Amino acid sequence: MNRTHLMPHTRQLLFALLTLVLFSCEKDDICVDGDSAILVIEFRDATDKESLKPVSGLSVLLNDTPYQGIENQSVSKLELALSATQKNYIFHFVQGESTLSDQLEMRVTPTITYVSRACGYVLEFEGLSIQPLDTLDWISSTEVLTETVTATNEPHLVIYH
Amino acid sequence: MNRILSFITKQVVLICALSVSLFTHSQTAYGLRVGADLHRLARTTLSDNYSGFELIGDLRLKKKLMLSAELGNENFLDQETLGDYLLYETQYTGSYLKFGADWMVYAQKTNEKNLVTAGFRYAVSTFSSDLGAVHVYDSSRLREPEGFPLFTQDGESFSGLNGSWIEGVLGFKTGLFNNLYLGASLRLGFLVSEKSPDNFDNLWIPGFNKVTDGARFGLNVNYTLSYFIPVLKK
Repeated sequence: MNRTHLMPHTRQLLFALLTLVLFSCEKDDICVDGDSAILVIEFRDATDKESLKPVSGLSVLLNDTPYQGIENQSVSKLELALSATQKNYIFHFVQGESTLSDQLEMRVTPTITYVSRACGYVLEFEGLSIQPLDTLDWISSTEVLTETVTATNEPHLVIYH
Repeated sequence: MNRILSFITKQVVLICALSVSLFTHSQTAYGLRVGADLHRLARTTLSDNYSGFELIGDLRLKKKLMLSAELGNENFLDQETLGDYLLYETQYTGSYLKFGADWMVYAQKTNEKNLVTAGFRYAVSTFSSDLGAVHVYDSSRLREPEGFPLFTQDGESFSGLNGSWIEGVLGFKTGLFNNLYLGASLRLGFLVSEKSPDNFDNLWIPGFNKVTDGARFGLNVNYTLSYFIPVLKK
């Protein structure tokens, strides 16, 4: 006879399939695994190179406009979100109401690093370098701590003054 | 006389048994089934991001066993968004071949026109992926107050990618008329191996469908229209 009954395992199979479908949860809809890098600059004492020294009334200008609203701030740590496409910057670091303005040229190569489906790519930078374009007024020197800029709170660059 | 009667009786019984057996088995047709997936065709028509087709075939070897295979080609534009904004998009293009076996776990008693099958496949896919617009994830919102900063409008292309997986298949078929069958199957794939590009992942694989982060399971379906070519009737 050709009778084939519903095999006893069919129900278990169906159940197993359904369970797998229902419980294949995804963490693909939120990004928790990474973020784009922000350049962290520390201001330190030119004589005591290990200690932070705040700058009073600092403005950072790019093409004569304050970069990301950094205008007349008193800070010892600065965070610059560099562009995803630009490689060269000429920043004016202006101190206080005085006309003490130092021009620094920064070079950097934006790169992307894949993180996960939800985050996709994050922005990082390679080959960070900085050099004065003119004689410096209030800044004494600069130092690149890491040429590769990744998302971290540790400084990548130090400005001594 | 008795011997003759006995002989005739035996012959009649034998003939009856044979014809009964022939009659009942005449419904069990062995042969080749070929068809195409309607789901992929419908999706090709309805979606701007997808085009593809799948050909199916199975060969009924035994009463409850058939060898099955699927051959397909799929193109899919995967657009990953976060909130309302596009993060990145990738065009996947490639072909796949699946082969394995199905067992009939249920068949309608009268004519076997309605079947439930369970089986497995081993599948391989070769494909390429091509990144289009790539925006970078940036929670600071300093670079771009809304949306995500654009890194490039035309990202990298990766070719020579591949993946292999095993698939559990739960299938249903119903006979329409003239050996035409309508089928549906639900497939759960387990990715065994993959060749992914540097600095990117295979987020979608032709034939496998979406690849989830941190999990090797994928789900895909088909709805098939197939024609059964009877080769041998027992």
